[in-house]
Amino acid sequence: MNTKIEEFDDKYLVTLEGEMDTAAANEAEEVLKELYKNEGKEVIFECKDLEYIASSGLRILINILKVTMAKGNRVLLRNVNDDIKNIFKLTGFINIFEFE
Amino acid sequence: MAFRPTTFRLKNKVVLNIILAAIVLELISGAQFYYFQNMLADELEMRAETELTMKAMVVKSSLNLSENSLMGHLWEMERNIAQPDSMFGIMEGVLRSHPNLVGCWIAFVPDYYPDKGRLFEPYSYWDHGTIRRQIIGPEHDYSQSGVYKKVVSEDVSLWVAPYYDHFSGLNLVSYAVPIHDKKKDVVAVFGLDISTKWLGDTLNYRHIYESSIDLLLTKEGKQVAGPSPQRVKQNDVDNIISIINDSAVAKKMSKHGKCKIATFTDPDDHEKGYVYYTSFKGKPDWQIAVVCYDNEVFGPLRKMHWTVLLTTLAGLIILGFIVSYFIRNDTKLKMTKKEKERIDHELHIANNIQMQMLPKQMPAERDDIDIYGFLLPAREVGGDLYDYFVRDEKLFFCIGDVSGKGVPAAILMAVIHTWVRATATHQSNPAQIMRAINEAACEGNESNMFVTLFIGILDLPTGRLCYCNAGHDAPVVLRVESLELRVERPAAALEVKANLPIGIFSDFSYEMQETTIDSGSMIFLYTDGLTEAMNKGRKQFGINRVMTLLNRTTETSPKQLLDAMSHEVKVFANGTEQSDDLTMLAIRYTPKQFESTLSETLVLKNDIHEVSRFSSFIKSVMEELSVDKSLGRELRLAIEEAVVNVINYAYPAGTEGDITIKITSDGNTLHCQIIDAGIPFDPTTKDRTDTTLSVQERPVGGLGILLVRELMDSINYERIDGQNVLTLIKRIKS
Repeated sequence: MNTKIEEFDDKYLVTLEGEMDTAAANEAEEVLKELYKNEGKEVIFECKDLEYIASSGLRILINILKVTMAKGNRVLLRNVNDDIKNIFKLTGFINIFEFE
Repeated sequence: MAFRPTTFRLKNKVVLNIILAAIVLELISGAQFYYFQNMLADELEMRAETELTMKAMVVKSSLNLSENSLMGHLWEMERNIAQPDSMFGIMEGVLRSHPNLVGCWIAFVPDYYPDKGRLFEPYSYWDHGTIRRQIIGPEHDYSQSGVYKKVVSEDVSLWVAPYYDHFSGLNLVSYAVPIHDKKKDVVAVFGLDISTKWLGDTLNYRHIYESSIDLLLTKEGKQVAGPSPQRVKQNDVDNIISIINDSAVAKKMSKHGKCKIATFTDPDDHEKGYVYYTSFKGKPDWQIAVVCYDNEVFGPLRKMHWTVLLTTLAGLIILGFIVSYFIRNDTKLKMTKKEKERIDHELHIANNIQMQMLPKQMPAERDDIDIYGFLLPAREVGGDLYDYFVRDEKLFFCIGDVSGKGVPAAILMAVIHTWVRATATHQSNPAQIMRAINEAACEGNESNMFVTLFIGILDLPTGRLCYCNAGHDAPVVLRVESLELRVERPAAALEVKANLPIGIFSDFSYEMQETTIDSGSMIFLYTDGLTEAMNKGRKQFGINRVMTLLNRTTETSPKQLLDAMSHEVKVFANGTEQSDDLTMLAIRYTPKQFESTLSETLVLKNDIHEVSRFSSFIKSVMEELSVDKSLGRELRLAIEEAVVNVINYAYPAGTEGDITIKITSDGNTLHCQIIDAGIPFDPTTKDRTDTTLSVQERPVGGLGILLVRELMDSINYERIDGQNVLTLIKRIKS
């Protein structure tokens, strides 16, 4: 699985590629720690190549969401595929995140 | 209150009817009175007529006697006419034979006896028992009296109208006859005096009515004789006489034409009276009258009429009150009946609610159990309960009996039922469930009702039965394959600890018991309504009979078994009233063999990094099964979450342990077993996640098991031989 963060003036663009199973999520967490220091930028996750995400992955997303929203910024999930969307539905996260 | 208008209307009806009845009765009574009054009036008339006739006869006969006596001495008088002194002797003779005469006299024509002077009238009279003589001479010129003149000139006998006689001081009537000499000339008038008082006495010797008055009058209407002044005032008598004489007063003829009738009112006391009067036939041509007072004649009848009227009215009024009273009672009865109907209706609804709380029969999808329940309350609602449901491939079932019957028992039973369900969602240990219920039941138990309860949890994949008993009758396990083999005693009571019923000691430590149910076996549960069902001889159905029947039965379907059993009870009871709720539950366990066509196993260490190995494994298995991509991802996620859960929690921190993942499939269904030897850990009993909470509210954990539940068809946990066995099941072929 690949995790890439790009920082812009107004946003962070996080690209998630591949399958984020529990093991992969642990590794990705290290990378995504940077987003906890986010001060005032919105965060966009590009998920078009994200094929699979386990609950730990979801947990990471939730944490990032909490931190970012606390600072008053948006989190956006882009191009999430149907299977993963279904997972969001099952967990109720569909109402919590913004999707594009 | 709903019944008031009815009573009011009904009361009105009653009152109206009574008034109507009263009116009718009064009218009838009135008609009767009128009829009787007429009869009485006719009777009065007849009596009056009779009285008049009779009294007239009496008076006349008295007068006739005097008359005849006079006539009898007449020839003697005429023979001795030349001897004037012998006149006295003759007159005395008359007087002596009629002591009631006042006196007797002979008035000679003037100068008849030259030596006696011009006027000569010898007179004999009674004076206090002695007869005296008197000669009425020149000082009294009798020749001028009208009587004398008439008798002498017309040569007739006549009765003289009453007059006051100074000499005797009495009112008299006289009878005068002419005396003739040999030449047939009138030479004297022979007369006798009768006192009117004597006549009056004759009249008044009896009366047709106590207040009746009898009168004698001359033709001209002058009183001859009447009642004594002590009895009747002269005023009243004069008034009556004036009525008779007054031609202006209307008089009617009596029915038989024997007398005249006049109605009058006394001017002083306004008493109404009737005068009946008629004339004598022959001499003297006097009138005789009898007076009757209305009060005395019709008074009794009138009184009776009023009495009848008033008593009838009083009777009707009392009747009215009695009927009112009964109406009130009747409406109270009606009200009670309405109340009863309302209560019955509500009980009926309550019964419906109770019946609806019972689980519907097993859905047909499940082929590993057949289950059937039967509940017959003794009253409209009962205190028995049974329940069953499947959660995570385990059949939860229970049967219970609240002490008591009817509504209170039903309410408590509904509460217990809810508790069982609520606790069982997050608890798979029947003893734990029992303890939780017992604590709750003891807490609010002021009415000191207790409940016997049996809870069983049958793990459907393995046939393992965990159970806990609280004072209930032990279920019976029926080895069905023995039925076919006709093995002796296929039925055996499950070995249960009696324990205490729920609701007695809040900290009673209920313990779980276990056994294995063989494939094909039947579990039979019942309440004491079955064993204690009574027949007419007050004998109980009894457990022996139940066991005998179970041992003998050839039924393999729970429904048929229960039908047969309830039929037996019905026959036994033979119409005796049911004294307790009767409940039965039968479960047949028929697990299907899982013929797997694929079996893959992976063993991992309890290290999160092992997940990658799992990922490869699961992907290859999915490919092997040719499962479509989405479904494959779902399966992968579910199993991954379960596995991760085990990796994280199964073994104590720091210890190493193995985790076995075994995937089998028969082409239609996929089973994935995750086995570890860690601490007993049942992920199925963790509380379900609330997915409606907001970001801030959501706890971070709990997602894993949620996903497992959502993505798999069912999950099942069992602790077998010191190992946690978590089975995930999903249908992969639609």
